[in-house]
Amino acid sequence: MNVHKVVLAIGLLISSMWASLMLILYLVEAFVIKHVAVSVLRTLLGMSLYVLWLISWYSTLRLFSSWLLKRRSPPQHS
Amino acid sequence: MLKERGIVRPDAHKKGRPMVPHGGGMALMASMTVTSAISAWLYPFYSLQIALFWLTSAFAFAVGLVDDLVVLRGETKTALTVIAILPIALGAIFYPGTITLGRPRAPFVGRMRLTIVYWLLLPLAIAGPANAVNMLDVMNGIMPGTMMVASLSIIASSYVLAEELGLILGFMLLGALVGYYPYNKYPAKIFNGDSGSLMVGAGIGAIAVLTRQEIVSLVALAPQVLNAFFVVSSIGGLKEHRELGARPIKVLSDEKLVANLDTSAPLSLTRLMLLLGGSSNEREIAKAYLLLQGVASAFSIITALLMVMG
Repeated sequence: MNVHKVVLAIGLLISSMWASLMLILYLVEAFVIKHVAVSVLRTLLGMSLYVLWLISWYSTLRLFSSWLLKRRSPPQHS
Repeated sequence: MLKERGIVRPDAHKKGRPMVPHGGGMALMASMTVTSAISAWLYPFYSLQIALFWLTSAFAFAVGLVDDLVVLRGETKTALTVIAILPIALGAIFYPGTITLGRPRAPFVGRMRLTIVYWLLLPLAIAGPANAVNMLDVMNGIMPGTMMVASLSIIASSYVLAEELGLILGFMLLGALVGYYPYNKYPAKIFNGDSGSLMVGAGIGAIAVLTRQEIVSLVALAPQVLNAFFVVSSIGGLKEHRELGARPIKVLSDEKLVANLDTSAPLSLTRLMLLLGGSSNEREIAKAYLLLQGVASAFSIITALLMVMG
């Protein structure tokens, strides 16, 4: 196994997840919490953004893994 | 003694599948009990927090021990680990001056304004890390090795954040893991069992909640969270590995490991590694996991630094 290639690829994935998490934390705390006056609306908006972050990563990882599987699978002969 | 009592499991990634005792969690728990007692005596100011940390870990250990002896369903095990938050939640209710929960630290913004929502998410604070660590306990040495690196990052982050309790609890966990690692590293003389992995994961969760390092710990556990994400999404729920049909990886006759190319097989971080880097052996995979844990731990320390700068 090419350990360096694996660590680089998954390390990049972790880095992007971390960077996007930092961004979403900042966006929610600096904009939603600061500028939305109604408490319930603040909670709903903030939580929606976190859920959106989670769903987008979930979809990205699923797409990435299925692409990788298709690339590695032997070709199907009919 | 464990071998005599038949508390053994086959080492699935080795030729001939040798039987290995799987009660390593007992050694980890014994070590944590001794260090908790010594730490509570040395730091009486934190004795309640240390007791809650021990109780939470001990509860997860007990759940794991039951699973080691009588196999539990995936959903049952997860549901039981959710209850492990009770000691900390009760501590916060009865000793609000000493145990304060909510408003976790975040980079740039200081304390997050999570109060009611925090209590709603609290049941996942122990069950999440406990099960994520348990799900990545897949090969010799990976659980204690990666958790040693994660504990080091929690210690470093606690130092950066001037969080004395985090330093004490982090060193307690690290000490137990350092003493245990030589017995579980390749070729393992003992397996951690679910009792060991659930206990260590619950310990990390307890440190996160008690020292308000939830985000730092989440980042430090990135490989575990990523793996859990892959597994849960591909099998559509929480299942024991024994309940799965196809396995994510295959063991060849020369102990080489390859990714299962069957599309119905569950996805895991190990399978992804093998798909990316080609066939491998247990040692190389453990090395890759340790390096990845290093990457995640570095980011968790950067997160702590950003908290101080913000």
